[in-house]
Amino acid sequence: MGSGWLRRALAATAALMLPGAIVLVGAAPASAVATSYVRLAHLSPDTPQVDVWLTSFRGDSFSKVLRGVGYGALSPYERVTPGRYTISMRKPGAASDSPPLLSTNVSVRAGHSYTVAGVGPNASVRLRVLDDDLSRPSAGRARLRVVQASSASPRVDVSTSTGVSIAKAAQFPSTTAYVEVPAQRWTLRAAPTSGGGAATTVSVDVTAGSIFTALVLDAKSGKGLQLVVRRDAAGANRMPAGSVAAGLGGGTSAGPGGASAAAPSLMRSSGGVVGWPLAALVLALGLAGAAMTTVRLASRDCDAG
Amino acid sequence: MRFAAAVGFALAAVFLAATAVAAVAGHGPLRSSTGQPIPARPAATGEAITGGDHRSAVTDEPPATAGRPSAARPVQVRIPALGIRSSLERLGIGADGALSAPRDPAQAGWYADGPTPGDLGAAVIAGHVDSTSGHAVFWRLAQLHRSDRVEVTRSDGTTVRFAVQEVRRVRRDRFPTVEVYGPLPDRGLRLITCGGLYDHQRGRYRDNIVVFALAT
Repeated sequence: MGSGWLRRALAATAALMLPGAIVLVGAAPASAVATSYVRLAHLSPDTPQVDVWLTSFRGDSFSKVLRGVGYGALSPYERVTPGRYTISMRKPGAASDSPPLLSTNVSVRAGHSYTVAGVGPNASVRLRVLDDDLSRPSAGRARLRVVQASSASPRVDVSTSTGVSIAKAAQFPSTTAYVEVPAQRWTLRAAPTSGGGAATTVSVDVTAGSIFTALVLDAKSGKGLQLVVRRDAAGANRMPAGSVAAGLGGGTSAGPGGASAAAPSLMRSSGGVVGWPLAALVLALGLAGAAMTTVRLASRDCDAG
Repeated sequence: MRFAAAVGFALAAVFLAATAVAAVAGHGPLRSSTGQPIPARPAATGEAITGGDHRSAVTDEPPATAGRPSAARPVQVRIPALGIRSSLERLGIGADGALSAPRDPAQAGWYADGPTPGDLGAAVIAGHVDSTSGHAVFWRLAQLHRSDRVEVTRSDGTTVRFAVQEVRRVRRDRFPTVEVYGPLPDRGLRLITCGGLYDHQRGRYRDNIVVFALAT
């Protein structure tokens, strides 16, 4: 009888913990991994090398410079906090407070990724902000877009070796929408839409769950095209369903038939500093209510053999 | 029965009071999850990128991992703050469509149909919180804090260092699949174990602990 009494008492404790845990989980943010990304590109064929500056509006002295950026360059994504930024292009070696050749502002939203590119012929070069869609492609597929940055071939077709068209008569300078393609090893082909000019091909392992950008550029020397494919973001090739059963219960503080049931994380609310006092208040109200009535406590989750 | 319930209330009240005080005093280990967006640090890479180099090739980001996804696989994970060091088995998707947990509770595992730690994308490493008889490799995972280090050694001899961004407890029926496995334009790592209440009747934990980290 004595042990049964203790067990019921502990069970009551554990049962009361349960709603607290639910409150705490409910208080947790839906997503706090909201890192944003910005990368910089030079896609103006006849514009010489520049220094590209990324500067925060906040005056927190966040400033990043990529020096000697030439045509065809695409930087890695930089992690940035959401907010307003200025992107400026300056002559190589120019001071950060010198007047820029070009500048634009970008509002970086939480969790979004951007490519800021200098595009067009030098005479009318401008900075363009692309909001890169790095969301998940459908199962078994990847997403691909084309950035047409070849001035020597004003209109370009890009297709796969199996005849799937990715971009048709894409005009310089432009960016196509993303196209979903089945994951496989593709040979991509870029060719001028009309007139002569040699086609160029590149072999790409298009893995499922990843996002790609194909850059169409003027060839480095001579005439013709260059095709460069960048993997912008990578995900799992196959996405497992749901959660992971990574616990067998043997670490819970009571053995078989016992009452308490908690991995070490139970004590550590995801509600943090705010969560526990809130939960305590909610539960205190609950306790007061419960004390008024005779509650037959079912031990629910916790008292199973 | 009434007496038992009353004792239960008392124990619960004492427990709550103690933990509320601890939380106010700043001892809640999951402080990173209080709702503010993570103030991401700028990446440490500061070199100039070279212009004009545009061979026809696939290049990953960042340049350190240029080329196709590496053939390397992770061989060991270390979490110095928790004294965790484990070799890694390969994990796959089970018959139920979910990520299979490691066979050995003392050993963590890497989801082999996703990115390798240190490559572009979010690599996933899972480990048990407990076995049928006691603690397992990721017993203390929920005690990680923001900025804690996680190191992964790869079969190509390189070691990749990650910094914890967030430690989150999620209900298993609301698992953030896309956040964990979806496309990432960065070198990320997710560590997964079980947490929350253990349901003896159903033989399962109600929650997962998910640690989000980015390469430093």
